[in-house]
Amino acid sequence: MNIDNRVAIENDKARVDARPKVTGAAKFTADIQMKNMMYAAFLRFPYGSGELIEADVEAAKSVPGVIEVEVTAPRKAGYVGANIGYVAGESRRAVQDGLAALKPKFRRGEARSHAADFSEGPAKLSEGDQARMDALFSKGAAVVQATYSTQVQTHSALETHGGVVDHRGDSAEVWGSTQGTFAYLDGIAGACELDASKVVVHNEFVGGGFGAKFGPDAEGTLAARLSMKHKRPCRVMLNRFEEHLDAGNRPGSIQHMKIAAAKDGKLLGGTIHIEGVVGYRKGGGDATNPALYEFGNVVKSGSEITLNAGRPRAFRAPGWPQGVFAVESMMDELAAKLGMDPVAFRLLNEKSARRRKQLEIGAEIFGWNRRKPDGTWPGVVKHGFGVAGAEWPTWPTKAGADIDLFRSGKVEVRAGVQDIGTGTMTVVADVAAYELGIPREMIVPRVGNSTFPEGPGSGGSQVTRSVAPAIMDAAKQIREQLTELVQEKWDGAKVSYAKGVFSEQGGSRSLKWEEACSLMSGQKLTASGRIKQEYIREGISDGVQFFEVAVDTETGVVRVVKVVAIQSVGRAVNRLMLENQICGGVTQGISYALFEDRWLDGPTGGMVNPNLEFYKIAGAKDIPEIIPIIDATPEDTGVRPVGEPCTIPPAGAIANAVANAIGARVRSIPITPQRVLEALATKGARS
Amino acid sequence: MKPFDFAVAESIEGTMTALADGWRPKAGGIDLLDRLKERTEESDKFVSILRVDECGKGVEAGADAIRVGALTTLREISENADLGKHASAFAQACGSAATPQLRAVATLGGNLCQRPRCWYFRQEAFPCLKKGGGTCFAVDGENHFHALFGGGPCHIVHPSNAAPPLIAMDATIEIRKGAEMRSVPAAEFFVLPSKNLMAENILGPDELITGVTIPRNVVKSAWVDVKQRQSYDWPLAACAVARVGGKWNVILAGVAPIPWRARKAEEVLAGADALSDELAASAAEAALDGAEPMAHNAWRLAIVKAAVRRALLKADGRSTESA
Amino acid sequence: MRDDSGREKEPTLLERPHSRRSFLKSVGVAGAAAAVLPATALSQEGGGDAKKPPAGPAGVRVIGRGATEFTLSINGVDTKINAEPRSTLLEVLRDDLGMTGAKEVCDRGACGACSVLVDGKAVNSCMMLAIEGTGHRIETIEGIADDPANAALIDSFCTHDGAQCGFCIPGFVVRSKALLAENPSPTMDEIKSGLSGNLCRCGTYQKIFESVQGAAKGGAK
Repeated sequence: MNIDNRVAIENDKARVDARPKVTGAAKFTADIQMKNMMYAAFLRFPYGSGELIEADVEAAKSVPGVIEVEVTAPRKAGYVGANIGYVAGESRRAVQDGLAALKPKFRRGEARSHAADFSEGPAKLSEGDQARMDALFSKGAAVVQATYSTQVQTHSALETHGGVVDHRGDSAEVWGSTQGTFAYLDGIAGACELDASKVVVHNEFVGGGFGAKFGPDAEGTLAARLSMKHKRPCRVMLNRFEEHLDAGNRPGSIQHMKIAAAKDGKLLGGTIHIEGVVGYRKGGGDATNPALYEFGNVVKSGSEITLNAGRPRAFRAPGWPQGVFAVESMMDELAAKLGMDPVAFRLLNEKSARRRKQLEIGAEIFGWNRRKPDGTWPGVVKHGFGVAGAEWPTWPTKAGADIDLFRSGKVEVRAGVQDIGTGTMTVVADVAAYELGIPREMIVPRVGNSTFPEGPGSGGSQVTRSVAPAIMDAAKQIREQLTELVQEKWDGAKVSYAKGVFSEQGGSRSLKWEEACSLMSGQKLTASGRIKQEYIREGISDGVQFFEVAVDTETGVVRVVKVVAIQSVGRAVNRLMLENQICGGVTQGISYALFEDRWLDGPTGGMVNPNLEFYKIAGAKDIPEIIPIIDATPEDTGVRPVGEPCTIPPAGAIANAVANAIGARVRSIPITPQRVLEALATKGARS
Repeated sequence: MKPFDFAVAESIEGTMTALADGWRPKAGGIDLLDRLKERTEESDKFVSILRVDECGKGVEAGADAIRVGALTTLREISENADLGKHASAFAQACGSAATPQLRAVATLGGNLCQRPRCWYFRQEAFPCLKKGGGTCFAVDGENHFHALFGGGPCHIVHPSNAAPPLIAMDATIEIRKGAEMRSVPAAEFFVLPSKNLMAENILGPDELITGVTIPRNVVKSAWVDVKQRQSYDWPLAACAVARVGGKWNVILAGVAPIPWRARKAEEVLAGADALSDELAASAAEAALDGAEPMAHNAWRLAIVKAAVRRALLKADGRSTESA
Repeated sequence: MRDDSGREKEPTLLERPHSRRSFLKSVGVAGAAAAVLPATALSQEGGGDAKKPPAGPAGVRVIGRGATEFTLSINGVDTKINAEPRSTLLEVLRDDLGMTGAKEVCDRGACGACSVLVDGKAVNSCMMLAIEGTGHRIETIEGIADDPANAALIDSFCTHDGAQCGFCIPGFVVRSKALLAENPSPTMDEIKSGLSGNLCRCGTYQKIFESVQGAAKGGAK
């Protein structure tokens, strides 16, 4: 295995759509304007529960430019951000003025705001399980019992959710900020009361998704209904307030673990009970724990705590960042109890041979030997070192790609997949270029359109893995068609092809790509490719990340100093984009570990930080030195998932690094100055 | 945002008459626009004062004092060499506020007069005391970032970065009313909620800050703030110190409804010729005197202490360790 | 919920905090007529004499609250605008002029995605009243990208892969231009500080920093 980012990298060029994005020319759904377009926005309930008692609907209807008001009072509401009606109008201004004119009066009810208030602690075991566990714990040389908590995190894509629907009676054209072209198509066609074959969805440029943007949701559906009713285009985009409240989130968790390890360092097992912290209804609260290591004999159980707040949606590696935070924290706590080095402890228990290799190599590149015993770094600002891993399985899924090859030699590739920043458009061009043996500049890649061959939504990090084989299949057909043309021209001679040149086997004749293309009788050759089993290779990807932090023990402020992030990728299609993706996942993980928190007010259930001022996302000054290492496998013809696994380790690694720095453990994320100071105070009180 | 009547002042006389007529002044508008968008701003007529030089244009370096006009942006203050040298705490504080984009527009006057960032005050859905409602939501709610000193019945912290250094440097604030000018010590400009719930300072509706005057007898000064997120954040606590003549002034920021003079810290420092590490530490400890933490904010006291100690050492030209 | 004296309170009917001020009655503008006005120009007229803005003193030019005409210099072109004073520059650019490079992300000046240059300085266009742009030189990403003088900056972002989803990037490019004008050879720390008013949710920061370094004077990586 090579860990060397100069090996097996096919492409070192920046993404093909950089220029439209950099120059501002790229049109996102939020940018779409059409003649005669109307707008709408929802009225939102601002507390955990209660009732809309009164709203001045007549006043709202009288606001110039307001077309329609749909608000009924009295009505109850059960979560903060609940959609309790809407205003539609000629302009965004009219809609906002209409909403204000409602002057809604509310009654506040009781609110479930803080999960800790509703935690029931570890599960009660059956007699048999309890006996087994008691025996196991008595055999352990080290037993650690701990509860780890994680916060609710909002996706906070910079482009909010929304859609534009232009319903034309018997057909509709739609723009959606979605990472699932065909999921959106299905939903919006239903809302338009049209067959999907009569609807076209455009999502060429999407301003981030991270798992929250698949179907049209309430906003797309409203745009469809209004467009159909009023026979004009309609755009509905959420604002930042709504985006935090009612567009999905990563659920929180309270994870109760009691794990034993033997004297030789092998994990024996224990109990894991996960309380997922979800929204106003149960569902979606899973955390992936145990993970990564051979945990032995584990009794696992789970339950959910509902709050009067928005429900979870899949969020980049759903379940894993929160699960691995707890798993990796527990690993370090056990290692400390055993007096073992955390890396050595992991090597003993790792499930994956590949991650063992990554741990060894990563430790060396990172300089793990700089790590000092917990809490012994001299001075007020203490450095600490931590490590955590990731795993991401994925399964390739139905995907297609159409290739048009023109007489000039230029190529158009169409695939019904999405680029939400993931680089898919570029991957399509890069894979096609590689497989066809021609420069990328001759390829026009097209994605984000429901008229293209169906592919998977951008979920599960499966897009590249699925669409690359489809392109390979189509490319093979194109090569075959061209080869046939050349063979004909050469009276049946045997023809080989490589890197833009057709050569006569056992002869001297050769033709360049463009020359071969000019042999075609029609305007173009076409091929439809589909993912085929023969192209698919093993799909699990592994990763390991090492973190160095600096903790100011007087103020509790944590700063990440350096990260080494190793990510296996299988076939590495594009180095720059892979580095960008890995650094991006690390950055989101840092933000999750240190800053972000969907914060609810205890008494009223309102969200106190529904903005980007106090909902804190990592900014330029919070970024450490990040060294992404692409662990490519040259012999792989398959691509492995990257987008999600790279965001799994940071929270666990940072928690471990902070514990190493200050000699005290913070078992809740985000690791805020408050939590660090409180951990230090507790440690101080004990000593 | 909510609709409002808009005017542009073209003379100082016009400005002052407009204020007397109930128009509210708009300078950079960074605070105002937020409140107009959240629909928490009462007034609906605003006069822009940006084009009237007498409203506070420019920095004047005088022999005995530096006068900074109220329309000077935070960026201009942070880049002014004279202020950087003779009023370091002030220049540092202004340069540490907000973001580069906001500092390019936000003015000194606006920074001094801005309303609180309390997350209940800033959301229309919370009819809090300061907005004329019946409750301070911080009392039973999320008061992690609310007042440690001087709170009650409202528990905001004053968000101005510019004010604490000005107070530490014994600066005065020029206030204009009609054609009359008066000077008020910065230390007397701000008011506690126990004295006036609805406003944070003494300005009447027909009055305007036109500038501040910083005497040149500031021997040394420094600003230290502690933020959770380094890119853009309000400080968890901050401290401005200045040695004026022979006296140390220690003013805490972001911990009370007004910039908070740490009197006991000043007493500890009084009379000492040199600033030792021990003295700085004692003063920092003494700065916590009178603290009345709320249910969830006592943890910030350690940060107050760190900010005071570090500000003193920084002003004295000694290195301090910080993350 | 307890009141100030510690007694349990029933949840109460909440009065709007501003119920003291009477809400100004709006006089409707017919739907058809409204449609021909730019998006930001729908008039909401005040009480009293509906058409005239309130009187102002001498030395004060009262514009009122209704849609008004003014001219903005945008990318060197004098552009006629018809908008209410409460229209932000961001709204006018996006909704009236179709210049969608500047993005609305937070609408509160916290993220920099709406950044434009005003007299060469990067500001948040969402926090600026469009009408106050008169007499100033406004540059947007569209103009900056069009100007060959900025080719090195644009190219550097393109070749360093300085974009993932791309939604934040126009704001970064605008701010980077101003940053490099202020400081042609910034250190990495100065780049990070200089860009501290711009957020990227995809976490493209590394590549953005490299893009700025690449465009800086003598900028090797």
